[in-house]
Amino acid sequence: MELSSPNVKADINVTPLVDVVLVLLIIFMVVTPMLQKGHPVKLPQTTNPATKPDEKNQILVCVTDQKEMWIDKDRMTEADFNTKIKETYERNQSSTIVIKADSRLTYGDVKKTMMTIKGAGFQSVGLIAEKKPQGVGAK
Amino acid sequence: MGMATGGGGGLNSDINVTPLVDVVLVLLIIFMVVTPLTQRGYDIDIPREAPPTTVPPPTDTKQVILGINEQNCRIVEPLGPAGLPTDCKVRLNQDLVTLTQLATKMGDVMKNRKKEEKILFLAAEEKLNYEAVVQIVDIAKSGVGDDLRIGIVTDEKLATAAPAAGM
Repeated sequence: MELSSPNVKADINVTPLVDVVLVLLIIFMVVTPMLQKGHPVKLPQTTNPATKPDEKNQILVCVTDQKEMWIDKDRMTEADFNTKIKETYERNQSSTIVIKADSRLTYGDVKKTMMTIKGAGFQSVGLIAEKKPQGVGAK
Repeated sequence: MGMATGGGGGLNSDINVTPLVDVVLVLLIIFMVVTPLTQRGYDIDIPREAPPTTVPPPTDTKQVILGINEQNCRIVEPLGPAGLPTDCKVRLNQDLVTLTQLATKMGDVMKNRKKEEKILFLAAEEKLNYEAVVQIVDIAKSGVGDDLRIGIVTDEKLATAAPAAGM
């Protein structure tokens, strides 16, 4: 170290770097879950839905208000849907199925989907709902 | 001013808490963001075509059927911001129950049951709005808790007519 300037620090100042990295981390943490999984639908809102942890071999079925069927990221016709679900069951019987159905559908539409899934061999499905923002809605 | 030598004129003995605060705040934010966004929903048991070996008992006197029909609860159109209609009634086996009573009633019925007997069979008319049906199920479930399993009834007639015998 030079004698004339004994106060010079040789450390790299990492604080701004850490700041930036943390902010990036936060941005990603916030944005990622907002990307709704599967095809976007208007989920039914209820007061107290139980949490359903997203399992590894979970199959996500979406039914839009136009009654379009989606499995994960793929749009299906009804016939394709039947075969695909059957195939999935035969490949892995332990996989779980969850349905994201649009809240504007009728119960019959959703029941029909559940019956198709039953026809493939599954014995249980999950219906995905959203927690109602507080203070809204009648009891 | 020189380098601190022995006597420690320039020594700073405070703990630097800034990094700690950074980490804690970030953790806080992570949890705040992640907690409300976890996937939520209901598990439904779907009736299976009876496997040849196990035939279910023809009349199970303990079964509880939740019948939802248009006649007692007008929920055909998608729900508005008001939610379920206030005069809505549902059928719990033989009894007509208002939605406000439903949770307590369900609690009473299921109170003394073993975990595997806590099953509610859902019989709703097919033309009803899906969100409304899910909300009614939610109310029924709130009276019992997470132990309650939900099954669906294939026969639509049970939504309107009470089961003949039993409870």
